[in-house]
Amino acid sequence: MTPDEKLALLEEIMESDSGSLTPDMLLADVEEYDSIAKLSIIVMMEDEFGISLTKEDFESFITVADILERMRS
Amino acid sequence: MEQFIDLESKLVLIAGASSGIGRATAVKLSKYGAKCVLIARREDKLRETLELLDGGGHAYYAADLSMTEEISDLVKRICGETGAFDGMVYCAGIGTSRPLRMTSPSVMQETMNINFFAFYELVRAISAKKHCHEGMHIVGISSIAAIQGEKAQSAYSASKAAMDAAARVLAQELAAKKITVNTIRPGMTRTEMYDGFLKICDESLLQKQFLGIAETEDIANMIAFLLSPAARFITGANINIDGGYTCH
Repeated sequence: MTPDEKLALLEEIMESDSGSLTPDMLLADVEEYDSIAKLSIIVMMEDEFGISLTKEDFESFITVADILERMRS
Repeated sequence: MEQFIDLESKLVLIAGASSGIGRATAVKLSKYGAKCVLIARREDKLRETLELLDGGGHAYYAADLSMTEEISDLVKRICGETGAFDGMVYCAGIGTSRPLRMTSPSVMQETMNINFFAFYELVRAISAKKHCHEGMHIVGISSIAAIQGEKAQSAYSASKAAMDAAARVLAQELAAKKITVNTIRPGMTRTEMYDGFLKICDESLLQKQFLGIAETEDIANMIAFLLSPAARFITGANINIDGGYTCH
């Protein structure tokens, strides 16, 4: 999956407008990054990448890039 | 001294007996003298459970209960080999944690299949006159999720609420055969399913269950009681065992 595809997937999961997210954005500034978005990211990571995220993972996510970085098979 | 729970020589089918509440239930029932027939997908895990049981006369059958159309033949085959049942406990199930947008029809189908449709079909098959003794006791393992809404639990909650509702109806339909049908709604219980849930759950949920996390034996104790003659007058009930979770 290319970086652009990962970003597009994240936008889809979070129901953000296409092109609205950039890697350097602070998650605290992303309006759609709420508890449901986090649960959706957990499911997406398991379904697409076989990664099981924890509460500690989310505490370490500061920017969009931090999530993109974990999106690896 | 009179033994309050006596399951001596009672034949009980336990679905989902490879781990968690199902395994603890098999162990508990065998201590009370029951002969256990274990069902689950994983044969190696079933063998592990079998080795933990007291007494003899137990058996296991590896089967995927989500293949609901095969349950009727499976019950027929088992009864042909073991005889008719005195009890059935349905512990099989999956814990689905997905928000609405991530819950596709296939996820919902998979959850309902094993958590509810298989339970229903097993009750239908085992309650046939030739497959059970009069006065059989049926217990389904539901969840407090059936009555407490938490984010990302819609498929799981719906499947457990379906089990609860069906049990209340089936209790009436099967009363003529003196069969009781009840469900137990455990709160957070120390199982593999709980381990997965713990990774993502909100701390406030743990605080709501103020007696702490249940052990599988806490649930197995109630199952043993509901299978015993002492519980003959309890049917159509959905019983919470939740360490105070739902009393707020």
